[in-house]
Amino acid sequence: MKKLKDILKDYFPILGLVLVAVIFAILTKGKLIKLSTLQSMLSTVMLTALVSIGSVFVFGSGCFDMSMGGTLCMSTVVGCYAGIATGNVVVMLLACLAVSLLLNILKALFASYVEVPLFIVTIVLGSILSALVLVIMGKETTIYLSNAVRKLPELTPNGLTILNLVVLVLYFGLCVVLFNYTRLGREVKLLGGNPVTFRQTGLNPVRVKLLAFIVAAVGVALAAFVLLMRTRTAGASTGGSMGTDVMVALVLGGMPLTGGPRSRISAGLIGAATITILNTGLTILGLSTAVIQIFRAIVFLGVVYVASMTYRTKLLPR
Amino acid sequence: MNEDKLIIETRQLCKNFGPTVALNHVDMKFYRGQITGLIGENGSGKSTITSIVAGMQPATSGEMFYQGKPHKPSTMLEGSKLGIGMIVQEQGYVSGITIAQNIFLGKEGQFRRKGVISRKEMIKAAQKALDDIGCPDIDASWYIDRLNIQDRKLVELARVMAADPEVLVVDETTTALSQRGRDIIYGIMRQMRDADKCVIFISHDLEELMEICDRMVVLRDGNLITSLDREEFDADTIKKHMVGRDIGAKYYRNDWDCALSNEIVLDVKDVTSGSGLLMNFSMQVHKGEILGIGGLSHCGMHELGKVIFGEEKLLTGTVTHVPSGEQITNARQAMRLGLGYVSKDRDKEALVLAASIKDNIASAALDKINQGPFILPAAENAYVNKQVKSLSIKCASINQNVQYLSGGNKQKVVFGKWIGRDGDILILDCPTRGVDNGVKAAMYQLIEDMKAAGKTIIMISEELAELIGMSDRLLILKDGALAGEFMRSPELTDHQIIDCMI
Amino acid sequence: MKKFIALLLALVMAFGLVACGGGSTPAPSNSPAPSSSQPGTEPSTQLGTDGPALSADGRYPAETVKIGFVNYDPTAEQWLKLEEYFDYLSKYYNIEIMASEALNTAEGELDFIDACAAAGCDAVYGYYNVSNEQALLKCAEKGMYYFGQGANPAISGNDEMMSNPYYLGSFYVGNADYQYGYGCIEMLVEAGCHKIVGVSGGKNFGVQLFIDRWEGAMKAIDDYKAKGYDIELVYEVPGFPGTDGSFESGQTTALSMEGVDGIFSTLTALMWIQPMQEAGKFGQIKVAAAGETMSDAAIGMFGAGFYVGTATEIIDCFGSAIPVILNAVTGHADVVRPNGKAAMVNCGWWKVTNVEQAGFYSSIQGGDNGWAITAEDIRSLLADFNPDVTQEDFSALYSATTMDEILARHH
Repeated sequence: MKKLKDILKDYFPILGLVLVAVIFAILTKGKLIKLSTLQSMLSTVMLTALVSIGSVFVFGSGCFDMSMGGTLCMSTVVGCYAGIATGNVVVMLLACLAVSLLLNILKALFASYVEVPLFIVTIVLGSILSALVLVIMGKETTIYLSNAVRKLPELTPNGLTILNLVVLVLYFGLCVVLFNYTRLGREVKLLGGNPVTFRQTGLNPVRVKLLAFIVAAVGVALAAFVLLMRTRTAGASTGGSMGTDVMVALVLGGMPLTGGPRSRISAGLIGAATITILNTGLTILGLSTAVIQIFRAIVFLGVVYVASMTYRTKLLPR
Repeated sequence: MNEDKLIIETRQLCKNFGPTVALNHVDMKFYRGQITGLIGENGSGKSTITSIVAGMQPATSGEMFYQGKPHKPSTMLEGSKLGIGMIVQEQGYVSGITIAQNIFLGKEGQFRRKGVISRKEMIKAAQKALDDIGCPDIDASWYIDRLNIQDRKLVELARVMAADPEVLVVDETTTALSQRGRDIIYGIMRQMRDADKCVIFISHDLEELMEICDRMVVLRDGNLITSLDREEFDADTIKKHMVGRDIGAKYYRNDWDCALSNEIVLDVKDVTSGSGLLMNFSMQVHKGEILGIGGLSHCGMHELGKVIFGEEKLLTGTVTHVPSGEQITNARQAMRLGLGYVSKDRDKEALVLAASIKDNIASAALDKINQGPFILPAAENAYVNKQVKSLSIKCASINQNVQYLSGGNKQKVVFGKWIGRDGDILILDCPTRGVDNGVKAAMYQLIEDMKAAGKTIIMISEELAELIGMSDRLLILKDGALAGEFMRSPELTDHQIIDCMI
Repeated sequence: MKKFIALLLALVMAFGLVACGGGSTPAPSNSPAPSSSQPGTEPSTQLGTDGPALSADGRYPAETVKIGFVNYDPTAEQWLKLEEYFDYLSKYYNIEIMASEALNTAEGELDFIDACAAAGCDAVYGYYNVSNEQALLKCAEKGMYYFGQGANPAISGNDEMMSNPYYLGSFYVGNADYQYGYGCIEMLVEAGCHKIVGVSGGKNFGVQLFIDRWEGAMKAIDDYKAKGYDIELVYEVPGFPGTDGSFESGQTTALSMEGVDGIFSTLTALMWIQPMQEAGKFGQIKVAAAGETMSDAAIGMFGAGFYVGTATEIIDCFGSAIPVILNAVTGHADVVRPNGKAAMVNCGWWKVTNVEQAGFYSSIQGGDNGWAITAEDIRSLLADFNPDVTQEDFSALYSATTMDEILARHH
């Protein structure tokens, strides 16, 4: 029988989500939990969740990727150009996928063969990607799908919600199966938990990192695609805050950013929901920018504090 | 003993680490003007009791008295202010700062002049401390990293002595020291005794203790077994007290059959390892034997285990798995060929501490319990439960994290990882390190059973008794080369082997 | 178990949304004025008696009108000034501005508009826009009016968007930036300059407003040449100060050139003061800048003979959103959307050529003289107070912004 404390520990992220939701529902006098608000929050949750769920594999295996925002941006921009050039949704999706796969495989190879901590490599990669996007876009600051050679299908709000849901459910399902019912998930947790033991158990770290980054790349590509379908634009700043949002989401979802056995797929989803409610709630309250940022910092610190009390293991790398 | 000289007393002191009892209601006394030796096997509780006295960790229950007053230090600094100085077994210095800063760590305040710490005065005082213990050749203004391991220990000694302690605890420090260092420490211990202070000396080395100490206390499994005065010292009696039984009883194998199969399974040829600890080393391993490998630390025996498992880079030479004819170059391949490897460093290399028993045991068998691309919980649980049951691992559930298990149970998990795979060759590096006697016996039984099942076992160990008791054939390494080979025999003694090692 | 619960939560939430999504979206096509009018406020019926209903503290209208404000830099000078103007107006009108954090992504913009809807906003002011028509469509989806983007072809140049019942149009200064550039050259010519250095700012990075200002200036130079006036652009200083150094090196080159007597800047020119003094050319070279804000420093530079002219935007014009939105929200969208189409409020800009003008214009941007367009002025544009008001009245008021016109109104 598990002790109460352990049960609480396991449900802490969900409790956190419920708590944040209840607090903001009260503070906003119920505005937050109106159905129309929930519907619009879904698209935001969805975007963060697609990237977060995939990055559970990456962070879980001990790879600290700081370039997720840049990867998403590059994928969206190239996807948008592909959409404009061909007017074909499928080509657009494939272009998003090609870019995120390429970049993530590159990161996996760096993580496997280069003796520099990955977070440094990816910080640099992030800056290179932003610069590259600017070069690709040349004199444009924003590109619009509406300039496509052939009109791309435009979805109604409900259509978008359904697309969002279908994509999220499929991807979440895929990740749950991969993480919990195949070798990959076990190996990700073991590799993140102790790379030396991992190697001495005859397992192949390069293979695991590659697969982890590939799964994450699919999430990024789907996020880029859904983003394009929703905003119909892309620019150098697209997805700019995604990198930090994902890390915050994982922590709020109850997973240490150093990865290892405490990694879980649900962290991506629950964390994405929590951070979205937090952000939306704060915006609805109409507080000034400074107040919002202070509030957000306090919540984040509080969560990390409570979490580090419950987990014993470190949530953030030293 | 004159009770006037009593300085430290513990009453009913207990210390538990989770389910492990490290100290069991210990009543112990330490006196001034005396060097008291503490001896016992690993895990007997000797380091635990001194660390509690010095304030490194709190006791679970019980009382302590220091100079007649109740004593409950919460930090080592507090202990040190009360006059208890301790030199620890592990690294006891802070890297990246100067020797002087290390010596006065936490006590910089005394060099405060107008709010600023005077570096010059600190170095001067540190140099004096070093001179006082007989190390004028160490310059207090250097960064500590510039010193070798032995001299760093001497800096720790200077730090402890600079505080002019009433009680000096030396915890297994001498093993790391050269003869010069040892002489310095012995000298200081005697000086302290002659100045009517208290010295507590912990060591594995019975001879050393018998030479230095005035009194010796034997601990076993957290219990105080006996206290002997100098005139009562007798190596055999002390050993008997330490082990708690006559050595040679049924504990290890009791057959003396050492017929070797002619079939060679592993051929190690002219190997020089990347770390340089093995030099042109060659050996062959026969099918179905228990091959013991021993030597002093740094003789290269631990590297040999890694070399065979493909975990260490080779500069020259080859390791060949004879039945398949393949050269082993990495762990993955070694595993495919049926090898298994239990590392000496259990926590850092053999286990994922934060993961569950299930995850750890299943980790080596992901290619055995899968169903197509999937791993189903039912199959995994069945596999793990089988190992847990056959090794009788004590746990609440297989989902429990291994980090909270006792050393013995952790080691059983590591064994479970490899035994479940059913490989043919198992490399065990110090398999009974930090494991209590009950589990040890179980491990030995397991090794015998595996031999009976036709498996080949390479057992690397620092314990001579274990090597003698279990091996069919025993290889002794010295400075990375083969120094001797012994066949299983009731006549084989420690002395023969030690002579070969040194 | 946890995974299951997480999934379940997501599904329940999601299906709930899809099921109810249809019901919560208003159908604007039925009526040009969306039915977001508040209960208790029925201005048209009360007009004949005591005038429109007011809030408890005497502000109009009775129910607070909440306006989301899409901002790109909450620390920008222009926004801070505009915020001051909004604060002033909110003493008389029952409005509440909900400004965004720094927004620079399309997804952030759309998320903010969603949050505005959740917070109960009646309208969104597109002061900034990344997602083009998506922002307007999002507002329409949520039943909120959208104001702004008068120069954005994807919105104001698109007939479909102009017909969208939720689009309230914008204010428009013609091709303002082009005119600013053109005007700056005019002012330099008036000051007798011949050899001009141009400061092109973000022109070479493709930033539209700098391109427009530059092109306006080039056209003016060509026009003057055609008239036989001796003027030429002798050098271009590219980029922004404090970035990659190209601005600074350009500045040094420009100041070392012989015979240069005028500088045209597409951005504030105050950073030229010190280098000019060091080069001993302060007062000799005349400067005209587009988009300079009327600060004390700028006024002083008119007095010191540094500036001969600036083209300045009028903060009050950005505030034209308030009467437009107030009319729409109180059921008079037809006033600001004549013929069922969004319309543009024509606005003026200031050509400041001497220290008196600079001082005056500064004083009516929240200074001693209040504001160019006062709360009282705005009252005349509200159908609840002035039933005869038409869209033309808006343009008439907002383009009457010369010193004389303002003074005439103030007395």
